[in-house]
Amino acid sequence: MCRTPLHCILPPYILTRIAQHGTPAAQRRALHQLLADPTLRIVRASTAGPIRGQVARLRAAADTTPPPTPLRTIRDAGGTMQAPGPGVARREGEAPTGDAAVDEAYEGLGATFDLYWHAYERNSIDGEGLPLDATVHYGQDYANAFWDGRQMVFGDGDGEYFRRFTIAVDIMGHELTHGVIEAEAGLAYYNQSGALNESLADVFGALVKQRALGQSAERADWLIGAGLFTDAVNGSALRSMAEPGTAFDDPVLGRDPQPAHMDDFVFTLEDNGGVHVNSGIPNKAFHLAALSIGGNAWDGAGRVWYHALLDPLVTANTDFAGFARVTARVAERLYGRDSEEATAVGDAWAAVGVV
Amino acid sequence: MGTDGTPVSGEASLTVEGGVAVFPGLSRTRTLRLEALPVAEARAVEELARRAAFFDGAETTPAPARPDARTYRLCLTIGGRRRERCIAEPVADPALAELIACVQRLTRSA
Repeated sequence: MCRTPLHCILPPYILTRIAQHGTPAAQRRALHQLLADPTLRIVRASTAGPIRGQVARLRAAADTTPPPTPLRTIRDAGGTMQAPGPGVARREGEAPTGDAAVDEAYEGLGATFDLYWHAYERNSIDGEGLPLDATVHYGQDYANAFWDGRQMVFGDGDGEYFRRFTIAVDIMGHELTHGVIEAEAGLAYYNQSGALNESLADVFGALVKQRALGQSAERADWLIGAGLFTDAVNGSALRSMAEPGTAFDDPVLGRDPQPAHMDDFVFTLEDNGGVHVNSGIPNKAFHLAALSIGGNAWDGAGRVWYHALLDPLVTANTDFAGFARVTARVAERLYGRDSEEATAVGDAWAAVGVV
Repeated sequence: MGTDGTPVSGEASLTVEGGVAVFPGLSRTRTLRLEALPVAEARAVEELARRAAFFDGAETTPAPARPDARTYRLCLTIGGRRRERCIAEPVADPALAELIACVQRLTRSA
């Protein structure tokens, strides 16, 4: 960068004269400019005048290139515990199959891709257009869904307490977000970093659902996995981000163990140190921030949480307080130090006892 | 009856941890006596354990937990041999996956 404006506009022959005959300070500045000048001239020469050749082709293509689209493949495990499943049930662009699990997985992957692209300009899990793969009909009576590092895997439920896991679009957003987290902060799946990992998966899973339904923060139910339980279960969903600890209370499944405040943090060795339990605390913080900011949660609080996930300060062992600090900085960066958004984020973390 | 014609005796117990959510009521260890099962089902467990080489081989360190994947702690006692293994999803060995699924089904209905 030229810090002496005069030297920026002087032709080379005058700079040469100054370099030879000027004061010592002027000589240094002129010499520095002369050394930098050839590079600048090359750049100017290559960018001035009519654009031709490869540059022209790339520019023209940029104007007409369609936005990225998902590349989905849904496989069928056929009741085995084989993932990826042996048979391809539906590829990108193919018509619905009539198999509810296959078609729901296809649509769910699409809704998740849409949130990340349209809200955050992220092209798929890795940001580089990674194909989205899922296997459905995994196992017999298999009541679970998980991210295996390459794909999402969905069971059909046991039919007694759980329906098929593709029935809830937020669960699909949740599972894909584990892939995003793996590609970004790489939060270790244990203790507080693991609970933060789970919470972020819930946050963006909920945002996938809210965006798909066109729901504002005020209108959303903030339930994770609504519709998964059969009528035999006394419960509404797997988790409640609005009221952690209230999603179910059933004689067979037990009672929702999630806390909503650091005072009730659960210390346990089970569940990788309570990753699905203590995630209730940051879940509640996000819910409070989203409600306080208002509007569509994926635009306000969601944008803060997404950029915090990408922040270099969020690493494998980041805990709740560390993440809270980063969200506060991100909110200030995006909306201003004294903005309502920054205040809302700070207040939300304080309300759950993290800061 | 065992493969040599003797009755199949022993025990199978299974604890399932992890998954997309925590259900306190489902996380307890479930145990069943093989003698209490219909003979065909007890023999199926024995055969699946043999095919999965459940009692053989060195103990391997479980892979790092995958998000929302389950971990199975399976303990079998058959014919005087006893072993407990901790297996994380995804289960790569189809025979082992089939054994887990079988024991899970039997312990659920027991």
